[in-house]
Amino acid sequence: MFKNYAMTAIRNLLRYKQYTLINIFGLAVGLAACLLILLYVHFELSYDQWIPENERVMKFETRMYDKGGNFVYNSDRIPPVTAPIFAEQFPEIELYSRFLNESVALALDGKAFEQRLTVADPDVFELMGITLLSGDPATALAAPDAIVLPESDAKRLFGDSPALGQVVKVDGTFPVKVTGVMPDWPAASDLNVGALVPFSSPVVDYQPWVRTSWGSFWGPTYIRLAPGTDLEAFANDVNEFARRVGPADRYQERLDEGVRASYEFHFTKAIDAHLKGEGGDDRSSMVHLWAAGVVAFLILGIAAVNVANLGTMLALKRVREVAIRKALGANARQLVIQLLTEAVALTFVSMIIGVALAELMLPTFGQLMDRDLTSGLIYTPFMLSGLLGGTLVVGCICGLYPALVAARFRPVEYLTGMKPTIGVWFRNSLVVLQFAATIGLLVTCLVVFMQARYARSLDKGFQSEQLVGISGISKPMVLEREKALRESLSRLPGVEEVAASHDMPDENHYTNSSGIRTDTGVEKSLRRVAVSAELLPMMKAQLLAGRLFSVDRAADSEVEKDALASATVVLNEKAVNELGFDRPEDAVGQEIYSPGDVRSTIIGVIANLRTRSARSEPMGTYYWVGPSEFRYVVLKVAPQNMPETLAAIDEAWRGFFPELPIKRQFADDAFAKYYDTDRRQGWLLLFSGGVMVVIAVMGLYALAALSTERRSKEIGIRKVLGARSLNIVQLLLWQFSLPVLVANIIAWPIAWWGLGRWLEGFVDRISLTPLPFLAAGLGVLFIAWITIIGHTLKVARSNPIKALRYE
Amino acid sequence: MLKLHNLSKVYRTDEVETAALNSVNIEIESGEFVAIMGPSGCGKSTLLNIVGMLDTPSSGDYVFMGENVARYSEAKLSNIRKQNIGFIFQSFNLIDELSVEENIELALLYHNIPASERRARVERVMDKVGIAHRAKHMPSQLSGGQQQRVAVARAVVGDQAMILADEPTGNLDSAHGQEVMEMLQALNEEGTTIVMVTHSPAHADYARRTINLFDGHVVTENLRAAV
Repeated sequence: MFKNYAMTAIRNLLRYKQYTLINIFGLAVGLAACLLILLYVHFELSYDQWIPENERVMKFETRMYDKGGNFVYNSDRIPPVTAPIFAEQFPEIELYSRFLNESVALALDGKAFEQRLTVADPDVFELMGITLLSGDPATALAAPDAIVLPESDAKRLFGDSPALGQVVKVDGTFPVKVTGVMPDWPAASDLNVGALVPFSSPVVDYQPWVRTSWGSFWGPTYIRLAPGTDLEAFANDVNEFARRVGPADRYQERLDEGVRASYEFHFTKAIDAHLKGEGGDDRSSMVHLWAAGVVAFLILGIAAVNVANLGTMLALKRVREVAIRKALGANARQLVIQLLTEAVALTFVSMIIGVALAELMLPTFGQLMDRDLTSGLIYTPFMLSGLLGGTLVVGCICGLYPALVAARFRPVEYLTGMKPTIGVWFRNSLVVLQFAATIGLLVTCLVVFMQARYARSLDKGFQSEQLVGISGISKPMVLEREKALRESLSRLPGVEEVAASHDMPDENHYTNSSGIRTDTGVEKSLRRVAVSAELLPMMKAQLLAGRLFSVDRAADSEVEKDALASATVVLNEKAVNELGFDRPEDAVGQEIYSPGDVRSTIIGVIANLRTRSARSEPMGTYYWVGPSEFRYVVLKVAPQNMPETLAAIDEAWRGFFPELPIKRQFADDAFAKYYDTDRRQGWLLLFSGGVMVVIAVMGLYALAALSTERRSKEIGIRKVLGARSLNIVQLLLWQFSLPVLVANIIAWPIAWWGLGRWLEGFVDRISLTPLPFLAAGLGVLFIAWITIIGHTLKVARSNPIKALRYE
Repeated sequence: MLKLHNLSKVYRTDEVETAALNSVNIEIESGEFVAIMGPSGCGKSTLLNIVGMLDTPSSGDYVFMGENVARYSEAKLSNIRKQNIGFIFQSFNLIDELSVEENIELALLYHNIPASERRARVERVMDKVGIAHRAKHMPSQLSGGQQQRVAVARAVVGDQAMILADEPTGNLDSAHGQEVMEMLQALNEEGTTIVMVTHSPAHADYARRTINLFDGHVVTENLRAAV
């Protein structure tokens, strides 16, 4: 009996090769896409899960309040200086480590390597569960000149010879000794950790104020709390303690005036940072992952729908076999088992091919998503049993409908010439849903890319073309010679202009701020950006009133000792509004007072310069001439002979700092990077949309083939009655256009609503127009036409008598 | 009306050549009622298909209303066909998804006739074949005889000069078969040329002339004495 089933099954599959292939590959492609997306989702969910005791590992965060006591924003870090103070005071803090990143050059045998450093505390190893490959964790971060290298960096520097005890020079100024080698930091971490150095390291001296100031923030601080610590109560204790020991201007003075303290510390779970943390170009969100998961199962669903759909059509083709089997005494149960077994076997083959496809595509997909994805997850017992169970379920779903149709169908009806018409409605709704999902996804794709393009083309308030920023200027040994460096660079052919700045578009987002007071008594916290007098004219900042700094007016650049504003300042439009001036003109000539009651005159107002992504609102900012806070040298290079110019710049830098590799970046490249997450999202969507189109088209192709075959008698009659091929083509095209048109009506409102919500996340956003909706709808319709035009023409041209003679 | 001269039709499969018609010479006058008889496989249907311009001859001439259409393109044939020829099939060949009146209207749909006139003609012809009370029904709700009447109505709704009937009574019981034959006879008396393939000698008697085919040849032609 079973042998007979197997034989008919295999012969049937071979007889309808085309449909079998479509079935198997449609499902395999769908499964592969689903697996890839799930691997990605799993990877995102696994962030920091490897931290031991992670339910007790917290990120120390700060809520900021301005002088009026209003909440300003939440910082996901605390002033580094406070971490050891709190740790010493509170036994609840079992372990703690700060993670402060700095980029340096390591020199070895006259060669300089770029190296990311992370200033961390000795607890880091126990806190994060890191086992040193060599070295002693108890002492590895004890001495100021200690450095613990990640394995790959150790290999890069020393090859196969042991790294422990080796001495390298940092930034050409001070030597450090390798006290340990650790495994590379896990990729699935919200922290971006380089080689570890202690807080006592001279690297921290680049920003000496960090050691003392409660106003300086750098990187995050992670702690492990004692079991059973009540988060809220403990945060209260910490804040209570901070009020007693914290600086008076942030605590006591404000409290005396009845104003809230500047800081309020609290905790968030470390494992939540990646998905629930705010901002961050590389972070993800639960919403995003949910969406991806839904899309993954949608794809699989669509593929399964196809198989079920085709299965039904093929079952209809097999009525004869079913009728004969029934006439010979097969009962419904046997037929159901037969058809179900076939479907499950088919699904199993698809599953194997799907897993293989996923393996094949994983490297490309991982690259696209910028994630180090591995397929290990697929082969865990849980996933394997899920796959097998899924195969069974999907197989049964795919096979059940045809099985029931075939089983319910009575052989007498076949013999009297009736054809079963059940399932037409069901099939059509499946096709409609399939296309609705495809169209919805394509619209989303289009809008995401449109928004990304819009964000890139956004008026930045300055000309970013040909601007190159050289970073690392704030290092003491560079800052000392910064002026000479600019001199030398300005003499290079191809370098048109040279300036210096505290702010350039990149991932650092340096933000300084100062409390500013006006004569009218307005007090506001404004962003403080130090620039050289040449910068604003060079960037072609758009002047709204007054004038920009001038190199020829020495008075512009006068800065009192330790002051955080020069004698003159330039404001941006936002700051003018925040300080309460009605028009830019009104602000010009007015005075502002920065900390220490330093008085400055507003000489000009410029349009908001946008150096960050479209997601963040420009901040009220004052620009001052402040060489002490320069972080970038900014060059404007001629568009001609760019490679030579860049080489000359590198050469000039080497002349000054032979042991420091130059770090330079075009402003436009930095902008492009801001939208990496969006681009990744866009790619994921495009990938899913593409897969959906392929699957839907495969289904439509098969369906069209089978359905036109079914309609061949009707077409024959129409032709006999005088229909031309064109009439027939129109008839069939309409038949297959209708589901696509209905799908549009379902997909458009949902996509419109969802995309509206998504766009609200952008400060500057495109407005939704019908255009992408029409484009996706027409695009899919067009693809559908191309898919079926072949069959249609064939049928329309065929000789009608063939269809009419044999019933 | 039409004239077949030395007309042959050869079917080629991969290895075998089968001559379905072999140098057939037939002439049919306008207003004639001709029956074609012969055993299964003798070429009756092939002949009817060629006469109906659904198929083209391999060689020989087919002169239809003064035009030699033997080498005409499909589009040209389709044009001549829809103006002049109506079809009736053994298995009715109605479209299951369309109602009676829609099935009949289908024959006018490809003729550039305004909708109002189509309606009128469909109603007229439905009255004529006595199916008007079933206008909104679907084919599956009708008896075989009724279905064939719909097919007849469809064949003549376009005022075709000639009707080709391929065993029109083959699927009907004798009472219904009789009905359909009488309907064809009535049409013939109104001037429609009718060419009918049949197995039934009784039904062949309705025709004025019977052509007997065997293995692709015309073997005999019997003229029935005028009644």
